[in-house]
Amino acid sequence: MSEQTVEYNFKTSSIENPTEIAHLVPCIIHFNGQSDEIKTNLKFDQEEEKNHTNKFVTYFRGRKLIGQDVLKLLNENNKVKAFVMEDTTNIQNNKQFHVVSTLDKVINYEREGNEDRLDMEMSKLREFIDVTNLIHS
Amino acid sequence: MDTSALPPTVLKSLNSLHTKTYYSSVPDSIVSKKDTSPIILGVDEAGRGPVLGPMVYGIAYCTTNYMNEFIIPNYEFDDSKKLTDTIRKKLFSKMYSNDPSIDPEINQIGYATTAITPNDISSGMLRFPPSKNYNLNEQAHDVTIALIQGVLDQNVQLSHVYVDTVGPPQSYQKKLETRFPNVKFTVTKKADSLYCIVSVASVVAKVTRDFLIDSMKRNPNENIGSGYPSDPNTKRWLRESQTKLFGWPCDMVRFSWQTCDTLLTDSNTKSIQIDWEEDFLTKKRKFNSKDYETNLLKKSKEPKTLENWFFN
Repeated sequence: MSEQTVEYNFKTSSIENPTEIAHLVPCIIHFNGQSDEIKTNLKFDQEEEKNHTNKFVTYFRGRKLIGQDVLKLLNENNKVKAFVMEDTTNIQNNKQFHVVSTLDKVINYEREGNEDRLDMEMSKLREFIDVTNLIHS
Repeated sequence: MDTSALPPTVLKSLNSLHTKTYYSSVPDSIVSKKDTSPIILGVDEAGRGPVLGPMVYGIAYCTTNYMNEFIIPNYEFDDSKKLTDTIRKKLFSKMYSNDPSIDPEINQIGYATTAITPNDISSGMLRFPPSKNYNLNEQAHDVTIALIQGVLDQNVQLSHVYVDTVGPPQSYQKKLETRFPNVKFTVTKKADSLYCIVSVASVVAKVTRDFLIDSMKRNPNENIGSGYPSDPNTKRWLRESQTKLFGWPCDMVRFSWQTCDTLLTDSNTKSIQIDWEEDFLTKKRKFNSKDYETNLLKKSKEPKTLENWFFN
């Protein structure tokens, strides 16, 4: 079995790249790649967010999506950072990843009508963080 | 768009992603009780079927004397579909004035509208799980009830309410009578042709919707048609403006319409295939779930890496 090196490049200049928001949507999108539609279409509905405390509301193909920031939950002590990485693996097949941008938020969404599942997922994540904090403290 | 001459019902809903309601002031003769004849109210909608734009519910109310002695002899209110666009706009323009110092010609009819936006229609009808769906009939009934309640809350003692309906009239009438036990109801199909007060409501709703449809154009030359799925201009606009990922702007289009679903799943439109949870529950799109299962199977045989771990 051949040995493979994985190199992660977190250069300071790269980390200072523009911040982005990651949206985890409750559907399967049969496409991987860039899209220029997100910035113009995926907007937060601030009027509706007044009815959903600490949640984000947006729309995708007519569906109302209600979400919460996972990163905020993970990052209570300001120790966690999230990045968008680009695969720059070289010809020797040594795995290399470069930071493209820093993630400001990672929002986990569920459909309107299914908010209970969102609350359950977030509380399980909270529980997981509490357990890991106990183990590592 | 010059907004200075627009009806107040339109100004309330202009550029709104969400449903808005406008109430006119209560006519003087009703507030002062100068005219004590029974107060009648008509309810009608415009834009139930279109795939584009809002569904507008309109109500109009006045005293029976004002209706019989002033409106019917002097004005040609009728089913809004039988009147031309120009006549409808002219009739409604006599009911409001954007200049507070000028009294409108028809000043003893009160009116209100609720414009249910495409975004609210779609998101209500496309909730998950499907048992939580807020269907169009429920949305329409709730809006009608809220409009009537809104008039009652302004201390207007309604005597008789006439409602135009597309669904079964008996069960709807029963529902309204139970909700408002002190008001008499007549719920019927074609009420806009049978009762003048419903014709007035029909004109208020139709003119409001037409202005709102016009305001949705992203440039003056954009031709979106009437918004009905059968309109060739609407069909062409839907095809030409469809984008791969989002489809169309959510403030313009009712995604819950079959027309949209057909275009979003048509391979000729180059739309990106998206599977929602209910697609797997209902097995409506068998090819999708099969494709997903095949992908899962393929991915599970690959070694886990940073790029593919989330598929396993």
